[in-house]
Amino acid sequence: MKYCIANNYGKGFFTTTDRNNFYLAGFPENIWVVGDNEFGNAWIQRVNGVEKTKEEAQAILDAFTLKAQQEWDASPTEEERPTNIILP
Amino acid sequence: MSDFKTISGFRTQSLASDPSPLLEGQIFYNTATNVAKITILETVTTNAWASGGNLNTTRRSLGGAGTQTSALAFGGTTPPFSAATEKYDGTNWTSVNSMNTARQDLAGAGTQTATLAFGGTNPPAAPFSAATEKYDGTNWTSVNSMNTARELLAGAGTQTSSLAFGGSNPTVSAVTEKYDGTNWTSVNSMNTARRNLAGAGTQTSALAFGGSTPTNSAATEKYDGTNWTSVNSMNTARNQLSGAGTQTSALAFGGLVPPATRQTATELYDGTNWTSNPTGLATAREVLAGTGTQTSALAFGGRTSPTTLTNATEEWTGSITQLAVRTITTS
Repeated sequence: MKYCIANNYGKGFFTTTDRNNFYLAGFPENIWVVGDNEFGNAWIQRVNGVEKTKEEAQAILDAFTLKAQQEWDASPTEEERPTNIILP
Repeated sequence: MSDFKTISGFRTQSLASDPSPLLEGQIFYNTATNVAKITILETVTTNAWASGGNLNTTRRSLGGAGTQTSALAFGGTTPPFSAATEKYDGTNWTSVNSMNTARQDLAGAGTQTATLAFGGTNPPAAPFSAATEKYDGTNWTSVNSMNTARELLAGAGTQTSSLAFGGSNPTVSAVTEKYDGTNWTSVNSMNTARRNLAGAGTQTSALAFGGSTPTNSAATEKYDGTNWTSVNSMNTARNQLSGAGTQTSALAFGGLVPPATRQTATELYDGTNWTSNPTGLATAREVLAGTGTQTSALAFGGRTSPTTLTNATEEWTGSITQLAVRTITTS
């Protein structure tokens, strides 16, 4: 897998052809997990994705979750307390 | 050896280019490429989601109606509760006049220009709402309310022939009501009371699937205009999902598997069984909205984590049967 930060700009960001050519999964903080093949690599270039290592991407996600947990703890709501998200 | 004229009784056309429009079974000789061709019906299976235009108002627990290229998004929570309405043209969402009653966890039915919105919650004014509004393509108008106020329900049908089923007020509900364009009438209830379910179909041929009883459910029921009958369940039990299509050709997508696993899972229903598609939504989410058909659906909005809402839209392309020109070869 590859990991990148990319802004989902809407129509055309990914296509059905993309989805059938490589693995793609979106996460909070504009993190995308991308199948590591020629199509996935070309997609990262096409959407101006900024590549991260898995550890870097997970750290961004962990920081996001920690902030959300702190906010929830300071002001609990009926919604579930945010839990850690583990990237594939 | 017999020639084509002897068999069919007419000569093969010689054409400089492929004909338009295409007719199924048409055999012709293309003089530009010097090959014999035939027009056939073929099925192209895509079965994948693509990104669509982003909603202007990021929200969850909203309602949806219409088609993939002519959809309506309404209500939800940003938070706070929203009355925002947007229309989708297949590329972009455009903000239009808002609903009269801001609310979340509502249901919808109909088209982009003839929509019905019903139920939901907007505390403290109405913890469980029976409010119904119709949209004419320009304005929302409040009309007669449902008999049973509730949130987290599902809907099917059109603006003048709708079905509302399930929900919560606050106990899980199996209540079903039909709308005739003027009044709601209570009809036979579902077999499995539940909330956070999805629906598809019409008032007299509906499908209910998934939800929370409050146990996470994969249960599926079909409605024939009089009674609900339990049928084969989905492969992935989930709630807070969305759906599209008809009773015999439905699509289920997204949702939540408790305690906190948001879903990309997409399943297709053929009137008998649910089949899991190899790929799902790109962005796992719950409390999203959906509309369209099994071959052309739309998913929009929702929540990707307890504190993160999304404005992302995804467009589903399923299996499409279309006319295609193929070269005749010997084998």
